[in-house]
Amino acid sequence: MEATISEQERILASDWGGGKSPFGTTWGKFMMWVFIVSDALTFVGFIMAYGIMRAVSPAWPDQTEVFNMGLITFMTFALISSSAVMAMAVGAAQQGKQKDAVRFLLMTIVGGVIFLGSQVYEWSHFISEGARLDSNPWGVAQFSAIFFVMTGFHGFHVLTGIIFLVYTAMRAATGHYSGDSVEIAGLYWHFIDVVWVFIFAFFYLL
Amino acid sequence: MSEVAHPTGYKVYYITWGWLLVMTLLALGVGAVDMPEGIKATLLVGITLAKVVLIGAIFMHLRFEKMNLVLITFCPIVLALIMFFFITPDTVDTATHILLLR
Repeated sequence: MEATISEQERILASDWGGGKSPFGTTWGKFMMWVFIVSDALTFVGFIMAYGIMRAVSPAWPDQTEVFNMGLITFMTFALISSSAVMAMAVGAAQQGKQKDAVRFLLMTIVGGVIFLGSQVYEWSHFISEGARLDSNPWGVAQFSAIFFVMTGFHGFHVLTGIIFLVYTAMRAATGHYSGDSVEIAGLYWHFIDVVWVFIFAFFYLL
Repeated sequence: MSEVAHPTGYKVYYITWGWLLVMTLLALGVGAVDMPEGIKATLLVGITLAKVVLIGAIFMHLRFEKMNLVLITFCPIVLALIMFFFITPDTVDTATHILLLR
């Protein structure tokens, strides 16, 4: 009996005994991490499908001849810069600097809009050259299919992120914010940046 | 909730930003140089993972989080490797899966 009680005490005293946070983070932030990990698995599926297509395809178009690499680099610059500014917004919010937080959030939104606008231009140019979901003038049908699916899904995330940031900025501007709420929005935005880092390297450069 | 205090200035973010831009230019250079695909892929994977670690550790504050949360974030990369290396051998050189040029 004594052994059982001491076992119970041991469990209750542990991180998993209830009333504690085993991951040492707030509920909202942890739920965002769970969402990010599950959403990342979707992108993993796309990127692996792309990798397998490349591995089995006898030929693949030269991306530098199809895409405007200057524009793609500019888009990458815009997204990385917006991610850096977002980190500053989180830092400002955690220090209670409301004006700085709002200013940095607005700059992040501008970066996101620039990226999304550039992507719309890239898509329209690609489509005008004859690219479709099931065919394209460069020979390998899967090339345009995976382009539309991967960048389209990522672009949708950017759009969602911008809406999320506008809402967070509005809340911050009216004083209804905390370091935690801005950090949750920031985690989502940085995740979008991480996904683009993979797409940029594997789809455009490899 | 974090065990270590978060940075109070913006300097660390500016430095990280700079490194990310440098690595982006490096990746562009690797992409532009003519070299064997295997070496190019290895270099790009290395640069990409370095960028992801920087973003995760500095921008997403993972360096301040507990190790169990950090390990959870690695799940997608581990599953990606399992998926790729388990599926690819079944796919490559299988006549029914070879994509035809259109």
